[in-house]
Amino acid sequence: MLKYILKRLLQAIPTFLIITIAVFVLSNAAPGSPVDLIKAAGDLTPEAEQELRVQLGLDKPVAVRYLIWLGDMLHGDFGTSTRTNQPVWSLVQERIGPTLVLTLTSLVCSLLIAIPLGIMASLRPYSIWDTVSSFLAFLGASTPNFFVALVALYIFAVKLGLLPSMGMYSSNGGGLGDLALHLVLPVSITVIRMMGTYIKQTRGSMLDVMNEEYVKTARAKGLGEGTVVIKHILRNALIPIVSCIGLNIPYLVGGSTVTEQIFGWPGMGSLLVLSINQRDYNVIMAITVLIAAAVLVVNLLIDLLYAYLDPKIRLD
Amino acid sequence: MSEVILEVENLQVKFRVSKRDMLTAIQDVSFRVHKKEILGIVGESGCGKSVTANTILRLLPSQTSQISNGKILFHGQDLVQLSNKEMRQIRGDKISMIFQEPMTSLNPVYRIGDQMVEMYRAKNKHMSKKEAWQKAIHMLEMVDIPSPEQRMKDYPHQLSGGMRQRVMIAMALSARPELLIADEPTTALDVTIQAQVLQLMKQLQEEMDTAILLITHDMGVVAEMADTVMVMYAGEVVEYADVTTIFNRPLHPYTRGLLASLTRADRDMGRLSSIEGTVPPLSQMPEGCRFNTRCPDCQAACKEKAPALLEVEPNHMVRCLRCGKV
Repeated sequence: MLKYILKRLLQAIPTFLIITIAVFVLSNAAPGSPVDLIKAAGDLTPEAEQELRVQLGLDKPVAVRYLIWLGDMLHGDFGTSTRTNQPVWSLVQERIGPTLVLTLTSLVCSLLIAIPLGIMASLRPYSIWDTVSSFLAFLGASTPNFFVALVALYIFAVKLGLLPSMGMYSSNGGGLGDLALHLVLPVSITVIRMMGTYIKQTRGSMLDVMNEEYVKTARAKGLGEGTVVIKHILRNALIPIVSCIGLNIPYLVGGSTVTEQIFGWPGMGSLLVLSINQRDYNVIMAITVLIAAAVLVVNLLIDLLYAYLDPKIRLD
Repeated sequence: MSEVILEVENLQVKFRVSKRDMLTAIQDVSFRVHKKEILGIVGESGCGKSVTANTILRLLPSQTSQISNGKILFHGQDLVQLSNKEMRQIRGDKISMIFQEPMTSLNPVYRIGDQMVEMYRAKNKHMSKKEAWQKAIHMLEMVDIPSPEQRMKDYPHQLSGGMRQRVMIAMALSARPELLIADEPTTALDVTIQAQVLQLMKQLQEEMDTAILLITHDMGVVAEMADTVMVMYAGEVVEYADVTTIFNRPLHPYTRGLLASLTRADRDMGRLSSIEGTVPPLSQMPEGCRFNTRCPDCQAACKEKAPALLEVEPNHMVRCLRCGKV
C-alpha cells in the first residue's frame, strides 16, 4: 500500500511540471504583454520601455524566465499583479476558501442526490422511476449551465425574492445560515449539471454488479435484500463510481468558474475571469497552476480511495 | 428408501422476453430427493438444469422469470408459496447452494473470513463475531484448507480456484443443511482438483447426512457421485432412474447419445461420437418430441405427438414414444 502511494506521488510530479510548462508557454505565446498595455495607455520612450522590460524580467529567454518563475512559485512567490500591484498570493489566498466551499458543497450534494437516484433506477430498470431519472439526468447535462443559472436567478432571486442573487454573505454579515442561503442557487446549478453523469454511472455499475455470481451467493446465503444491495452490490459498484468522480473533477472546477462569475461568488473563478480581461498574466498563471495542482491532489486522493475500496489494487 | 425431503411436482418456469411474451424454460419437471441421496441432473447447456436448481431456492430474478406451475415441496412445505422472508430462513440454512465459477462466486472486496462470518450471523443474530470467526475456521479445517487462520484473512483473489471452491463448500455447509444444491461445482476446475473436490463433497455428505442435488454435464462425475440420475433435454426430463440403470440400460436416445460421447481409456474408441446439432432455442421448439431434430431414431409420429414421461419399468421413467417398444 505504501509503495502504491509513493508510486502515485512520484507520478504526480512530472505531470505537475508539464502543466507548469504548458501554462507558462501558453501565457507567453498569447499576444499582448503588460508592457504593451502601458505603452498603449501613454507615451513610452524606447529607453523606458527597455528599462521596464528588464525590470519585469521580460528581456531574458523564455526558458530562463520559466525556471525563475517556477523557482519563485515553489517558494510561494507568485509575483505581483500588474492590475493591482499587490502580491498575487495575497489576492488569490482569500479566494481559495470560497471556491473550496462552493465546489465541495456542490460535489457532496451531487453525490448525495445522484447515488440514491441511480441505485433506485438500477433496482427497477426500465420502470417509470428509471425513465424519469434518466430524463432528468439528460435534461440537466444537456441544458447550458449559464442559461439554467440565469433562469434560476430570475425566478428565485428576482421574481420570488426567496434567495439572494449575489455573493457569499449578505452585506450586513451573517453566519452559517446566511452562507447556506447564498449557496442554494450556485450549488443547485452545479448539481443539475453534474448529477446526470453520476446517476447514469451508478445505475450502470449497479446493474453490472447485480449479474455477478457473488450476488447470487449472497442471496443463497439467506441474506436480506437490503444487505445484498448495500453490502454486496453497492460496495462493488462504488469502485467505478469513484473513478468516475475523479474523471469529473476538472469539469466541476471548470464549471464553477462560470457559476462563480454569474453569482458573483468571491472565488478563484471570478478572479480568473477578471484577470483574463485585464491580461494580468501572473494571476492567471497562478490560478491555473493552483487549480491544476488541486485536481492532481484530488485525483491522488481518489486513487487512494480506489485502492481502499479494491483489495486487488491494495495488495498488489 | 429413506424419507423424502424434497419433492418437485410438475414444475414450470417461464422467462419474460418482452412486455407481452413469455417463453417456457422448463416444464413438467418432477423429481424427488431422499435424505442422503445424491441426485445428478445431467444435460447440455441450455437444457434447463441450472434453471431447475435456481428455482428451488427461488434465486431467479422475479422481474424476468416466473414459476408458472408446479410445487416445490420441502418436507411437505411448498417453497413456491413462501414469502421472501420465509424463503430467506430456508436459504443457507436448510438448503444451500454452490456455483460453477469459484472465481466469481465469492465477493472480491471482502475477506474470506468476513464472508463466512456473515453467513453465521445472518442465521443467528446473537452469535458474537468472535464465535462465528472460530466456527468458520473450524469449517475451513473440515474442507482441508491448510492454515485456515491465515486464509480467513485472505481476499478471494489470493486463493486458487480449487481453494475458493472449498471455501464455497465450507460456507454452504456451515449450517449443516439438509440439501446442498451444487450447480456444476467442478466444471471450472482442472481435472486433478476436480477429483479432490468431488471426493471432499462425498466425504462431507456422508459425515453430515446431507442430500445433494448435483448439476453437471459430465457423465463421469455422475458415475462417480450420483445415486439417481435425471437427464434433462430442452427444459424437460427425458429419463430418470438410478445410476446403474442409466449406465447399463439407457432407453432414451438422448441419454444413449450422452453415454456414447464419453471417452473411455479402457477401450479403443475410434472416432469420438457426438450428438449432432444443438439444443433448439426456446422460441423455436419443434412440434412433437423436443428431441426430434437431433434424434437418430426419429419417426413420423415423433414429429406430431409430444411424448409423456412414462414409467417403463419400476423406477425407470422415460419420455420417448418408441421406448418400451425398442
